[in-house]
Amino acid sequence: MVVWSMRIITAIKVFFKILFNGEFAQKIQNFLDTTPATESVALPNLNFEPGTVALLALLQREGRFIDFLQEDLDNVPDAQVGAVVKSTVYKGCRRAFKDYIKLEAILEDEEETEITVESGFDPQEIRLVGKVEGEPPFKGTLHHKGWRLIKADLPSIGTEEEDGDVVCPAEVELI
Amino acid sequence: MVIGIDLGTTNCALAWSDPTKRNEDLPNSTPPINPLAITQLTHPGNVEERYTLPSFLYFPGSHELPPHSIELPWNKEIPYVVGWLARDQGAKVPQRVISSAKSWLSNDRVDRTLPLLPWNSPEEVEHISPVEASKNYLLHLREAWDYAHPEEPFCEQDVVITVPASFDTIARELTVKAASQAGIEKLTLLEEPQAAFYAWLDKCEENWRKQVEVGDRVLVCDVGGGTTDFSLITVNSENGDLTLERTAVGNHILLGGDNMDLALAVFVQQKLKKEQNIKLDNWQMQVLTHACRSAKEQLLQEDGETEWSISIPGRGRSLIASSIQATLTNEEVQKLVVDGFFPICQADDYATRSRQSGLRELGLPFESNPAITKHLASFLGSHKLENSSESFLVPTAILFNGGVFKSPAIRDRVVNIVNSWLNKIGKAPLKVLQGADYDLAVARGAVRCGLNKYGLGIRIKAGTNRSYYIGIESSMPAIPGLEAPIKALCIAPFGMEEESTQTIPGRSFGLVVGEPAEFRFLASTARHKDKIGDLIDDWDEDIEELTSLCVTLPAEAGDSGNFLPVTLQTHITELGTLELWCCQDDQPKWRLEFETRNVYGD
Repeated sequence: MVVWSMRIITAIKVFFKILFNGEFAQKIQNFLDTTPATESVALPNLNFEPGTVALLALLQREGRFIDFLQEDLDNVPDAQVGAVVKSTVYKGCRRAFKDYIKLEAILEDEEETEITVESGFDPQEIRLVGKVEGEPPFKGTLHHKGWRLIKADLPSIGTEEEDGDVVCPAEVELI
Repeated sequence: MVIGIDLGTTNCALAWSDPTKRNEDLPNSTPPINPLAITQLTHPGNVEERYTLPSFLYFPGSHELPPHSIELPWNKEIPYVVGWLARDQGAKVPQRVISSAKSWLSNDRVDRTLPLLPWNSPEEVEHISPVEASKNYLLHLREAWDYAHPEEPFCEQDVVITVPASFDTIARELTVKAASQAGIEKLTLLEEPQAAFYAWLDKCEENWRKQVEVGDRVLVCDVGGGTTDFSLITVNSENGDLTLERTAVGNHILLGGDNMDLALAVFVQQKLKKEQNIKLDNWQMQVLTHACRSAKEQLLQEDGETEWSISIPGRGRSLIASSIQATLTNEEVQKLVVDGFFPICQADDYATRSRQSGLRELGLPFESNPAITKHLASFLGSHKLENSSESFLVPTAILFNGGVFKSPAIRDRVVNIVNSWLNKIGKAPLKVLQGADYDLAVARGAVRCGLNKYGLGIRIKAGTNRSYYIGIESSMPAIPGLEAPIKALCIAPFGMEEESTQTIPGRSFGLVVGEPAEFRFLASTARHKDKIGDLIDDWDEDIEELTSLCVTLPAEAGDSGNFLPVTLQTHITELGTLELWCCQDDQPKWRLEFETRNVYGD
């Protein structure tokens, strides 16, 4: 923020510039007409949705998930990626999921079987693709059963403030 | 309620049962036993429930954990951490963590009531005694119970705590002390292999009578994370009913599954150095040890993999590119773990113990010989039955306990070796009793034992697990540089029952009033024939010196400086600990106290 005394000086300068400079005055008029200004500087959003930091912290802590997504793997052999992902990322994240998150299928039928979609279905839950025409009930092949979140009991991440932003602390070993 | 606590070297567990919840329709049935999910810190600021409480205690400094992150729901001011967080944080800051407190409890080379732990850590870290560390684990379990069951206060329940069968009376007494400091009032102690047997009884329900018969001798083979413990339970009959008696226990052996994981990790470490010229730091070594445990369990499965890949992830943000890859093959694990720790051997191939050199570092007396099967041969060889033609105690059945035996390959190896010994002398092969749930069996078994008090289930008869002696110096002319040889006077026979008292016959001792009198205190796990009052002047290493017993007759006993003749009386308490009393006119008057100070004169 600009300090108060500086703002007074700027206001006085602008006041006289508008008074004596027609082009500048027109620009200011246009600016005022088009407000609110839509472009603002992207400031860091310190009010994350509750649970966002906790979820990322959990996946990082248990399975090094953030490190995995942030790493450039272009020149790393597949076998090495596979070995670490399986032993660390997959194992850890899966354990975290098992402990804190519960999901279930939206449709219980077997995948790749013929099913009927009754009228009154929720398009959020069931996505129709292919030859979609006419009215339900529809007959089609179930390709994916879908997932629905049942429970997400994320552990607190151990910071005092609710709006913490530390996903993984830096680690310094003293020797 | 009956509460059973497995106070383990590396993990604690708690189980419980309500004696009134018995199924009345089934005669002889016992109520169900439930494990307690123990509330504890699992990460900084993160309180969760787990079925095990790692036996680690961490003293945070002022800089390494965020403020308030070690608070417990029932205690915001607690200055230390116990459980999962303590274990994980201790791996990162090793100077501030206490581990294996239980092994310290039975270490007679140090004064176990002094603040020694964390061992070898700088002075600014708070230090506590092995007894207090054990107390803190018990206190956490008590508070976690009260948190989960506020309507059934812990202090009012019957509590059974398990100890290694090989714990001598002093280690037991220190466990009792820790329990009483934790506010446990209604306490029973139970040996772990017996607890494993009780857990087996519980699993079989009434069927156990069909699986064993009169004359059976069940070898309980218990290999935990840090200790190996053998016991023998004999099946007898009384008025037509089967009875159970614990008839032998082994020596204290500090050797277990952790040694096996470490052996594998060191092997992989050397392989990496040789093949890829990679040197591992401490953190990588820990990750590797952990990975080796999983590899061991996977590779030793029935129809397990032939090869298991191990990867040590990068410690920094470069998770994958800086990772280190290695493989362990089935063959290597067989060689290192199965052949290394369970080598094929003969029944008389006893575990030799290397002589301790005089300048040995204090600290835990880790076992120097890793061959568990040879320790087993020693155990059976030193307990051969009286008047028997066999050269070792012949077991007829075996029950396994401890995480190591999750691997069928290791169970099979032990069974095959013992069967080869039995085959040689024309005996039938072992019956293998199917135990259950290698992690929680001991806590469950402890509850099952506690239910005895309510007349539920069968009791295993036990008594003292050693014979005890005091040293008597022989009268002989003094020779410079030669200590007078000592004889051992038996003051308690093996198997002396709880709540019993015996007087040492035909002997009185002249004690000087006002001056401390000291007796050398000895014990044996192998000598079952000695009777109270027997004087043994010649023994082959089967009696070992534990510590000394001290008493000072107070002024009211007589004039200071006078000799006073006293007799000695042994009392085994309800908890199975031994008390030795000086008697005047057959009345116990003054108790001899165990010296917990270092007998080696540090």
